[in-house]
Amino acid sequence: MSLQTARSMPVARSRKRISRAARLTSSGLAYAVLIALSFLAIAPIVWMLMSSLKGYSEFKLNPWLWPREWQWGNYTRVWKNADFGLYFTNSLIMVTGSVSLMVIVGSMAGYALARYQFKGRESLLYYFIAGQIVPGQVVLVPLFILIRFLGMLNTRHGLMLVYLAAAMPFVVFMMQGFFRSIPKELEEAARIDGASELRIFWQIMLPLVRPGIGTLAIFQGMWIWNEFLFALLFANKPELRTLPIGIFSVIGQYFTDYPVYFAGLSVATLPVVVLYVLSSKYLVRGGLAGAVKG
Amino acid sequence: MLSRKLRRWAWAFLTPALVVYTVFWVLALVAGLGLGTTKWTGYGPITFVGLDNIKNILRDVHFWQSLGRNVRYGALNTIFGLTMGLGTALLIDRVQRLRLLFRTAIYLPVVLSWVIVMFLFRWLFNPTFGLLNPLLRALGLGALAVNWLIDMRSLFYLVCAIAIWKSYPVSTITFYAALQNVSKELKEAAYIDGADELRCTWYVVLPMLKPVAAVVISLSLMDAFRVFEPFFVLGGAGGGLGNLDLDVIAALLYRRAFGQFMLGNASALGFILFILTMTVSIVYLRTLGRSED
Repeated sequence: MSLQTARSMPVARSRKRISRAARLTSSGLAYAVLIALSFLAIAPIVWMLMSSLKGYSEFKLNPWLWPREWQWGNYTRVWKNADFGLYFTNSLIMVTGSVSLMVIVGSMAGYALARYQFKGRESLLYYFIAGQIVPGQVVLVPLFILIRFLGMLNTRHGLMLVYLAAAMPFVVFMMQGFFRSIPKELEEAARIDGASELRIFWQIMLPLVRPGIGTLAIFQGMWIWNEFLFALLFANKPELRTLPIGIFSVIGQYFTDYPVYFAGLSVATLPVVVLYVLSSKYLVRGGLAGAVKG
Repeated sequence: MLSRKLRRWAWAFLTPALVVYTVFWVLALVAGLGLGTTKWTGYGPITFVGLDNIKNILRDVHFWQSLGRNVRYGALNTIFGLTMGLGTALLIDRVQRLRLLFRTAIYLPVVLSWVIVMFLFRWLFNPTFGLLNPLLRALGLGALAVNWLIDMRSLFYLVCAIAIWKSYPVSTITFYAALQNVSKELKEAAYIDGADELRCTWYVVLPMLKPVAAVVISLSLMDAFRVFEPFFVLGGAGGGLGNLDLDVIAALLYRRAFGQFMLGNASALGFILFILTMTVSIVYLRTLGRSED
């Protein structure tokens, strides 16, 4: 490289003016491509939302245009007649329950691994992380037998336990990372003051890692909101179905009224999109940590 | 080392996570290996059959067809993830304004549910009501308009395309983060030496992204074997078992286990899936270890 650049040195100055014009055009090109890619990413969702607000005949006439008359009735219909209210509640319960469990159980384990020096600590951490390379499908059949044996098939707590176990590798790894960044003096001072271990964890350490836990919780919550395979297998009773399973199983019946169909898809999509947009700044970072770690 | 009392606290904090994870993940994995050597419908007696399941799978034409789909999907996903991911990341890194907006918009498909995405596209590609064929005709590409949902060859590549649309932004964000760590001084030095932008990117920036590229490649290769939802959901809408002509290994496993109640066969398939992903992970960790030396 140095040879080439040395050769081009004398012409560098005369080139400057041309290169500025070139820079501007190529910069415009960069914006154009990025706008196109953004459009490609967003357009299907915007189109779905648009279509969900049209009447049937209007939708057939001009599927590409903005709705003339907003048919909020589509949403009431899908909410009441197609059980989406129920699926929505089920999804909400699954997300809240599972994420709370993950945060409590995961933060305790992460805390122990980060703040206590004991024999076998490193190996335990690896033991947890190793689970990340096991695909969910590999444990699917034995998990099904185990959950059935425990009488937890088609129960909420059965599915929550599966989510909890599946999330442990990632959650424990992230949690111990959060706790590791806190200075040692803090807990030592508290210990000298006579605070109990439980209190040090709950009242001193946990509040310090709240931002990290928040990001992690949103991340895991989105995963569970969208999760398909485990929910299909472990909670596939009509009254327990989450949104993805409800859509997968019953939407065929409403396929003929497309705007209502799209209203159903929108109900399942909007919460996660809103949450994502509000937290995207942090999420992209958090998601990254997971991606890089594998 | 800690006092006895503190050590006890450490184990108390660890116990819930350890128990749940061990029972519902690690033991399930071990039990799956055992189950793979048996013949069982889920009810009644279990018979030990040794390696028969593996032998049967290796003789099963559906297995090889499914594996072929995994490989083709994996190749496409890796190539496009790498090139589009890197290209988009370089573009976002290059522009001065609206970076967060572009990043947020482009990453959006990643957070959507597979069920929603596949059902949405299923409708768009519907030959009678859908919008893709009219669009192709309007663009003068009417020859390409086929019955997307029946023609299995085109359907497979359609699913691949949607999967790429939904997953390449992960590589984009990974590359983008790595680009933020390329030192400004280094780039400036290259410019002072007279390098133009293209050369600076090619000779200075890209070599520094090699370790990240290794991460991106291994993640997509692991995904290549564990992919399930896009192929299963599109084929099986309405609560069915999916289309045999769209099965990837994970979908075949689901069909064997919960459609045909061949739990032993399915577990053996799971074992093969595990070996495949493990191999990729080990290669990945090796390269990562080498690049850190």
